[in-house]
Amino acid sequence: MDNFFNGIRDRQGEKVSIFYCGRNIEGYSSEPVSLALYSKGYKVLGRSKKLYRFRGFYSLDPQDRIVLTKIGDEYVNACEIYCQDGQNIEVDFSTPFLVKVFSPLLDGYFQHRRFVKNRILWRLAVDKIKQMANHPEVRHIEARKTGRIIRVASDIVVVGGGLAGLTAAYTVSQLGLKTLIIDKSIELGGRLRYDYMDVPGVPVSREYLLEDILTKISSDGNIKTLTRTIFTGFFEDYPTAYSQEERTLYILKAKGFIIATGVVDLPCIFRNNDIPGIFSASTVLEMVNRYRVKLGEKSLIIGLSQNSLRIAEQLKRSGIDVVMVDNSRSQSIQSDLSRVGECIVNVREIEAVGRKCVEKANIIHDDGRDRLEVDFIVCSAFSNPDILILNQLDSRLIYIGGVGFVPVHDEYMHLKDNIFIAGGVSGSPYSILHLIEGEIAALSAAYKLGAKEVEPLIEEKIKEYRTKLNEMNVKWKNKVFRNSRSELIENSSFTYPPTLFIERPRRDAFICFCEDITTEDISRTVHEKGYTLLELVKRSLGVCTGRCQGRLCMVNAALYVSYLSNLDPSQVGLTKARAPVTSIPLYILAGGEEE
Amino acid sequence: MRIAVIGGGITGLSIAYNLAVRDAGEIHLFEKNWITYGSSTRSGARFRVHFWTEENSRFAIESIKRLEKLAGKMEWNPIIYRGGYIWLLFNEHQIERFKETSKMWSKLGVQGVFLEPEEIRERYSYINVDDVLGAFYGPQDGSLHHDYVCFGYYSLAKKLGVIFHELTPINDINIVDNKVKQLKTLNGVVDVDVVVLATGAWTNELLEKIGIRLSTEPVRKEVCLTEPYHHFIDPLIIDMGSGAYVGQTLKGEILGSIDYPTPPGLIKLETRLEFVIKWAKAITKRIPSLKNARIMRTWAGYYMMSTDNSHIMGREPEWPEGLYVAYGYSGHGFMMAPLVGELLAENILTGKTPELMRPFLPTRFKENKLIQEKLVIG
Ligand SMILES: Cc1cc2nc3c(=O)[nH]c(=O)nc-3n(C[C@H](O)[C@H](O)[C@H](O)COP(=O)(O)OP(=O)(O)OC[C@H]3O[C@@H](n4cnc5c(N)ncnc54)[C@H](O)[C@@H]3O)c2cc1C
Repeated sequence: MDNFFNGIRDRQGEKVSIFYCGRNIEGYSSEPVSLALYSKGYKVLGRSKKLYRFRGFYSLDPQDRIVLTKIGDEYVNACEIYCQDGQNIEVDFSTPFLVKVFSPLLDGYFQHRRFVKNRILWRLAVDKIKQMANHPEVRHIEARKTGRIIRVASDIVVVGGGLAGLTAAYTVSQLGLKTLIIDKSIELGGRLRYDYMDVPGVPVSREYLLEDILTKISSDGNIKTLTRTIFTGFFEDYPTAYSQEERTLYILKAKGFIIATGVVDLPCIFRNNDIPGIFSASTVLEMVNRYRVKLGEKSLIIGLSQNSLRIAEQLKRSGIDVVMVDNSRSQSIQSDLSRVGECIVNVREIEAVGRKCVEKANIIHDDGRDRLEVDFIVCSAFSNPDILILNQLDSRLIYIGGVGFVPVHDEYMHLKDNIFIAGGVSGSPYSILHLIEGEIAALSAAYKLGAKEVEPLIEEKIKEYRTKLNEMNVKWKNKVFRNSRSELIENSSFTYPPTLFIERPRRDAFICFCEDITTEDISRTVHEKGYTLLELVKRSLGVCTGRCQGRLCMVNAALYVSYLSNLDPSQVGLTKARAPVTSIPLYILAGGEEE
Repeated sequence: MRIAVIGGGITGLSIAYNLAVRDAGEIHLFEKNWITYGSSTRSGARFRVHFWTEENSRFAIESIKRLEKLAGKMEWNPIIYRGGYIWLLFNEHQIERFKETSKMWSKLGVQGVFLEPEEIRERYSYINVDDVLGAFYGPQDGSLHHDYVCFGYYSLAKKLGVIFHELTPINDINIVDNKVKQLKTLNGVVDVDVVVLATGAWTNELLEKIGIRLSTEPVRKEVCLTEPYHHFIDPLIIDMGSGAYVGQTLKGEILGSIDYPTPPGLIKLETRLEFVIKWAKAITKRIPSLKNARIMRTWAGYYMMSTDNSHIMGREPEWPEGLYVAYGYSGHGFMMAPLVGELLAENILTGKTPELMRPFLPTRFKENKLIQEKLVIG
């Protein structure tokens, strides 16, 4: 533990021997396969669906199932599988000959072509097309596996074990309520685990904060935890969670839910933004700090924000050079830039260059053009609340410039029915606000469950909350609270997409990685077909319908459509997410219920 | 003449297009949400020509022909693919019934193939046939892309001058002297001469306001979809034992559903875990290799059931002049809509009832000339 808090931890776990395309590689049992491979320079984990582009991983989050890799006999998300001795990882580097011939038919636009008026030709073409998508085969190997379904009851279920979720869980359990924490990560702690800088506004150090809350949680008999378990959403009859590790589907029974799922760092949109070596901001911190993996010598951070500065500083500390770029100049941040490294502002276009992974980056800006040698690129321009579950729940989401699509909630952190939210998912910046929101959500949930005595406490906390919101200049929250009290949703206004780094629609700038949908595809749908509702753009292209269920592409797609059509993002809207928000194998569902 | 089509699903789009092609006058289409909001893009996107009744089989054959012809004109490729339907049969009675009906299908030129368990295994090695007695395979049946078919009609209709009003619910129809007169929207009234209700599951709400009752009711149906896999299932497989069906989309996802008790009515379009589990059990038993597949999404839509499981199109003579309906497809409407649009447009403009349309008139309920379709899937 101590070692860990000092931030000088070595790579942990047992040394194991794994095989990548026949080559023997050393890995650690505590590391996901994707990371072990990356650290040894094996960056390609698979090929994309339509265009057979090389793909690695963007984040370590198990819900971002962009690429499946063949490990042993199975196609899995290599970020979810930990290294084990003797594991075989296979990547097929050959591109089927016909893909090149048929690539015009295979790109995102093939469906729209009128090329097939001849019925016989069409029959031949469709036979080719259905065989050509690069999808794994479903095979018999799983027949030996059995899954199970288990019911778990608790008073309150907390989804997400970061600062907000843990605070909420502890507060709830102090009131004598049984609490279940569900977290998809291998350990509780969320961002506190890997962001080594202190939490803004919190008077104690990060180490202390983390240790304190974890000790409280682990010694509390009222709290149970399920880690490596993904909350899969609310079916009409049951809320559910799924653990791949345990081959278990949990049917949850609870009187209240606190959703504290944090934020999603959106991918930035630039040329070749899909190739290996481009990561989400939090994943980079996780890899550098928590896993202590050497990612390279030089990095490019896209986006200039407080968050980017934290990342830059931590990369620097671990000996990585940093160049920061953004499309606009933010004065408030300008001051402390020199500390962290070079900075290029007024960037118009970014292009990642490299055959199989990022090797260089071309930056076009107002004053010319730069060509940088970089080992990896960090997407840190924008994070949106992780709204997948809330979207599935049909809660109202409004667009707030600079914050993203935010679920409408009141100051009691109440969303709807018996559901409460706290932390990043409510749009608040990573800070003491998450802690206070955790407390408020917990108290409100307890109140709803009958603990009427907490009322004065809630009012007190809300006063404190309002003061902190003012102090931290989070004014937009008032609009959210206001909206929670009326049926009408106030309009937002058009803003330039913070993740956009291309000058015009490009065939190599991707919005959706699962389905290989590019900015050019979207632009054609908007301009040629005239579709500007995201629901219709989705139906015309398949954006938001891939394995990640829109987690990575939905907000980017909405903002890009809004940019192209000059509409306010709330007019473009999002698409409805549906249960399960992360896929569940059939053998588990068919496995039957156990007591 | 001012014609209002209410409902922007495949039926409304097809009717609007067919009216516009015939220069019917000023055509408006009203949709309460966005085009394709209703069942049309929540369907299984399959078509078949095999129904128990000759009326439905005939109608479907002609309807698919219409769509194929139109495909060349559309800006969107409807992705029609004849992968076939295969009904797995579990008892003599089922086999008898298919053999019996097979005569009618042969007469219509859409004969299928009967398969012994061994033959099923040979053709579709992934199907577990341990408890299967035989199968009927219909090679003329297949799939289409429901979004692109709708968009195809939409863009054709738009080019021909149909005026679209999205996000415009119609709340009521004003009748004066037993004639349709006006439509009520949130922003006021619109004068009309003809009103066509293509409002799918929501039709009764409007009909009842003007005192018309037809024996139809919406029933929610749920669907499961897996992540995409390499293509290996060509036909739609209907398990007549468990009531489950399963197929694979050209994108690679496995799509299916199973009969699951649901109270009728416009209940919320949500899905149940119990339903998913039932489907998972049935389908992994039938296709064991699917155990590995992962369910990625579920959704629900409404089947608009009529008492004889067949659609209703046209009008009754006593109804207010200018009022027409086209709905009540009972779960197989997408494939019928291309022809429904064509025949209804003709009927509206000429007053004549085309022969193929006659059995489907709403008057059949009063006259007791029900169609008795029993081959409903899902
Ligand atoms: C799960 C499922 C699977 C299916 N599988 C198949 C299949 O494989 N093959 C097949 O052929 N069929 C299938 N169907 C049936 C098919 O989807 C429907 O029969 C068909 O889509 C009906 O089209 P429609 O245009 O009549 O109705 P809808 O598509 O429901 O359109 C009605 C429209 O009217 C609008 N509306 C309603 N009331 C108003 C109002 N007052 N004012 C304005 N607008 C209004 C609605 O918003 C809606 O968009 C399936 C259906 C379901 C639910």
